[in-house]
Amino acid sequence: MEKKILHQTPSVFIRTHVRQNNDSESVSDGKLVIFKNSHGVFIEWQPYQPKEKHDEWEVVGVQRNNQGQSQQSNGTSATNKGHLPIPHSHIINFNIQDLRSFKKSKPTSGIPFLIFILNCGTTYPALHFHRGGTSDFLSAMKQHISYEQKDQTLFIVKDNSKALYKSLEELDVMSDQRSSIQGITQGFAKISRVKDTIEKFLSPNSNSVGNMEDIVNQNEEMYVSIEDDFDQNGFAVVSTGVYKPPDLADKLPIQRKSPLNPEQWSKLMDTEGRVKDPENLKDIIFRGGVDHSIRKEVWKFLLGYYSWDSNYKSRSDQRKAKVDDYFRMKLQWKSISKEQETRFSQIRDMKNLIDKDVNRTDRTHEYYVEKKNVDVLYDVLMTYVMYNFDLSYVQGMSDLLAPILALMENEVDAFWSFAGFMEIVQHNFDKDQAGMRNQLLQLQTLIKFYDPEFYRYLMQHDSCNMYFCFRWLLIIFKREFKFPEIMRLWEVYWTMNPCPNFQLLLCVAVLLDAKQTIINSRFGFTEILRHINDMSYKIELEPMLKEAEAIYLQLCSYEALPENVASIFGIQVQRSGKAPSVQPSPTFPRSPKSSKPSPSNNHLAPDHGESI
Amino acid sequence: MANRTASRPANGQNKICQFKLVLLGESAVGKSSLVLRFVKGQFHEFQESTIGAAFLTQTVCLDDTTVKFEIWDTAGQERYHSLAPMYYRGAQAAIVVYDITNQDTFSRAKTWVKELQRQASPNIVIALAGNKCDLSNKRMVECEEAQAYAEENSLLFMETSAKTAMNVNDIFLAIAKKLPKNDGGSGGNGSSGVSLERTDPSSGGGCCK
Repeated sequence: MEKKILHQTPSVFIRTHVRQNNDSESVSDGKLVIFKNSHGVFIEWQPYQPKEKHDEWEVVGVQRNNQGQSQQSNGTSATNKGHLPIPHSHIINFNIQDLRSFKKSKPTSGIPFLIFILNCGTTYPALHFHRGGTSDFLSAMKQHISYEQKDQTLFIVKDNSKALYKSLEELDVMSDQRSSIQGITQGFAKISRVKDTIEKFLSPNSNSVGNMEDIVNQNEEMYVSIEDDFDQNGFAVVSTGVYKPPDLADKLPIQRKSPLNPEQWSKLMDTEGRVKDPENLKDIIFRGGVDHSIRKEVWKFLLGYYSWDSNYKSRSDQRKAKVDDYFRMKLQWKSISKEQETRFSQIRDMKNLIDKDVNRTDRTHEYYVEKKNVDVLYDVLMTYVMYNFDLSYVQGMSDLLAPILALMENEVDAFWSFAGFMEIVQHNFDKDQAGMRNQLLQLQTLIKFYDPEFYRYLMQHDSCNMYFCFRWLLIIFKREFKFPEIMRLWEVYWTMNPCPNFQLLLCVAVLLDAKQTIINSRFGFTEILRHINDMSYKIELEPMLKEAEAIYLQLCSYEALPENVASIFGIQVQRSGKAPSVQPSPTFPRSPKSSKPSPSNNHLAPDHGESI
Repeated sequence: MANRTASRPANGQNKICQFKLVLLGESAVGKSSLVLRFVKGQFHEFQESTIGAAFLTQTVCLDDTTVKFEIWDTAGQERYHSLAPMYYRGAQAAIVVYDITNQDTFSRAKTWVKELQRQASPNIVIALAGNKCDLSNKRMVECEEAQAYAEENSLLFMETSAKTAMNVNDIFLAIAKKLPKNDGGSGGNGSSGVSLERTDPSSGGGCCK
């Protein structure tokens, strides 16, 4: 059967994030097509730009297999330098039967867009309908699938008969009597047993926080697949959990402010160049970040390169000492001869590993197009190996260094700033993964308390190990945001305001933003992981920062906050009903300013705390 | 993470099998590049290191059977080794990758094979891929050596190049051929793929490139 076009909408754009041009954004123009061939009905976005113009994103000999999918042949590649690439995530072509859900922009917001999400968790970039036509497109889609609106923006493709059938089969009670009453009855019996077990497991008294492996194992034993469709189909068996959400105060509206500007910055220093009120300064940065023009200077304070009580004179001395110290350590590895190296496998291995990683770290960012800057990245990481040989180099570190070096444009400054960052996150790189395990557990504890409904869903879907947040936590969201945003996120995070472990609150904020999509799309572990990986570069930072802080304030104001949650954020629970106070958490990785306790709640507890 | 999607065979319809496959091997040998080539037909010169794990799917057709691979791509550095069992647990197939220009990566591949033989599902199909064979002028691992090792250990073996696409589809196809495609219910030890017979010709397939 020939390919038959059923519907097409012209001028449908994808915002292409092209990192070569200093993180600027450009758009790819194309048309969105619904077509039919002998294998079914497909939706495809076809760029107007010719495909041969791909650079490192080249497509090699794409052809259609009999599934209607593209599949490569061993053809030769056409590589033309200097053209705008279309990232692979922008190749959109799928069987309409694979569509699980989609998101539609709110009617009031700018250019309308659609985001398609597939059964396997694949989440495509937003398709912007520059000349309108979303309604027509959706009507055309409706000829082939039925869907229902779940909330203002989310639509779920209906597949009820299949889902119910599948669920019962998964319970393995339907073998040869799929449609018989007996089978249904057995199904119910099993479901209620399962419900009992789940409730027992989920009861607030159960102390289920053991080690990671135990939790994973427990869940495997516990595993049953109970689809939410049971509710929709009148089988409301498992929806009445004993696991109630905490009676939290409403979220407070959070105001984000403008970044610390040069004028403010100079006013915050006395005549000798001493920062007058570091806590006030950190508060300003937490609320709005730092203007790019003064980041180079301000980051050195946040990362412990300069001490907070330093002045112009002492900083100049500090810097001299740091420069000497850096080159002393650099010489240590630089002066190892080739011959020595043949008998020094640890250094050899480190050199290899770092060399491989720097050559693939942010190479599309304009700063790292130049090989000489990649070499500096290498030198700084090798020198860090000498500075902290016990930790050495671990994958992920080059991601943490790259934005810092691109900003500082100075080897020594980048090194010491990076070393300060590593002080905060070094436990993420523990040999036994203890730091990461601990954080994933803390995140699990937090979700279990804050959103039991979501926790229950994750548990039922083998996912409460939170492992899909591994990348977010390991490198503090570096792969999820472009340079300007990751710089903003990091400087906010480095203030240690309003509490330690703010990164976990950010995880919760982003996860809960994705919650409805995950639950309504009935995603399991693999689909969630894929959906979350696909969210890279699509998360809006400022709303998430607000959300994370609002969640923190809710926790602070909750009198019955469980100790295991309070301790993560250093919230001291006072059962008398007074405002909570905050103190550094013993579980938090050592801060670069570890000589001083971190009094990080100055703007919070007294003001907001009592008013809640 | 296990395969749970299954539907019953309908007479004379195309059979669909679903398998979990994991990629293992030293850092920077080209695991993600092999997957990207297989799944999307692309090669990215500066493919970023994998943090945590990535999950992709691709479908291949073999005569009357459609094989759907659920592919887990993992981080290679030794530091992340402790996470690997989470991925190969329940996998029906594995591709252990080394870089033909680097002898150490071949030794590491052998260690991965041993670990899989000891700890993964007993019937796991293991393929050994000597990647970067476009760089044969820098070759440090002889093809014959790897071939002999693969034969001793009953592994599938191919030299591949994610860059030129050489043998990339072939190695996945070879694995697909070797995997047991009997009915899901009779797999016994749970290591065989679940067969999803198509009851509705318009459903299935097509997902995820």
